Amino acid sequence: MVIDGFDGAALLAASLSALVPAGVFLWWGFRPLGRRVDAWAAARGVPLTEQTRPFVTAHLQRARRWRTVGFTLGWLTPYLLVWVTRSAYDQPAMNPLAVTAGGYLVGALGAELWATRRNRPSGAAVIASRDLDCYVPARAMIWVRGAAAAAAVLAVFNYAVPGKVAGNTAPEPLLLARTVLVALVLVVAAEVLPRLAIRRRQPFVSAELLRADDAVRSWSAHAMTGVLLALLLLTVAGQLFSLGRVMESTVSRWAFYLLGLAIVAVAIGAFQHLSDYCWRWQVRRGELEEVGP
Amino acid sequence: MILRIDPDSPVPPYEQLREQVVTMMAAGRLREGTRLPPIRQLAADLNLAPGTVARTYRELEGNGLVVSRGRHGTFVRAIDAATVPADADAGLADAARTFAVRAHQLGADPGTALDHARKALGELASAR
Repeated sequence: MVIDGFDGAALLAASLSALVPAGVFLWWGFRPLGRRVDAWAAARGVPLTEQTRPFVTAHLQRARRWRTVGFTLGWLTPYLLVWVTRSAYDQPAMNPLAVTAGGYLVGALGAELWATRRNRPSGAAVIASRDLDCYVPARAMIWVRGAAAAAAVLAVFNYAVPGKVAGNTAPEPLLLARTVLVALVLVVAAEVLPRLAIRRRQPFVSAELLRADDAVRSWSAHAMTGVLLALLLLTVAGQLFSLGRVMESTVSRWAFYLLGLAIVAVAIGAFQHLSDYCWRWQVRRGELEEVGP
Repeated sequence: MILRIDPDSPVPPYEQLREQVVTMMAAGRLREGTRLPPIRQLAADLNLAPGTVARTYRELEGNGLVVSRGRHGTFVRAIDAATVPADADAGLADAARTFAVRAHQLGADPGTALDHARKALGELASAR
């Protein structure tokens, strides 16, 4: 059977492989938080009181829903492109994992923009600078910069290494430029986007609410840093796979493939680790006692 | 350390901000080398125009209380004899006049007003 130019069985299989995981993602992201709020607060040293519990719960729910919707849309994007262009072959080269991670990042950013709109001024504020290294471990940023540098170096290496396998095409300067540009954009995004979460308006209402709000911002900054690090590591892995393809020796080829796979695993692990509910990190800001004239 | 801005106060916001920062410095809560928040961050948090916070920082810098180090931020300077402005007496007289007017508006008798002033000065001295 042919439906709208597609083979019916293939269409059903493709739809199920796209929609079933999407449904699972949405169910996962929209189910009640339950005890995760307590685990989240305990890991970050946030006391849950009558004032902080509703605040934390609302933020975690909202952030998780936005991120899930972004992640799901990212997951569906390659399928939607096939549907829109009506061809499974004439697609722009895209890594489905990277597109899904990109969707998650857009969702995380959407949650922060939404939070900014809801933050009403109180006429009071803490006189302390909100710096990125108080909210995200400095070593995470070192990893981000290192991954960007590795991606750029591998791209140059990929360009410089002549093809040694039969039928290998000449190196393309455009591919080199694209990889370096992607690494540059991602590292700049890792410097800028988490700061958006940290520096959005923070009116002071009470010390306990401020601590909870700081932890919430830190969690968002962690999630953004984690997904950007994952995207950079996926770029590194892509370069390793490309290098593997042009290697003459089977051992070298498989060494690059295995290294690439290991980097993909590290990318997924880094993302999961940094955005985890139970990741232990307490915001390092100064004292909050009130001193006014 | 919390800053509060009263939108109904006759004192302009930049002056409220300046007074509170100076009090924190005098009380030893804002120590030498402490970095003040970026202008945009503080303006967003307090719902003020960035120009208002910038004016406060400029005045503090003009009085030698803070020093701006470009993109690194604005830092608290040590308060010593060298940083006390030459017109400190005139400033003190102004502050006393403002205090006297406010005490009069509140219907306080001079003795009670002076008691409060002594108490506030004592608290500052003990906090340092």
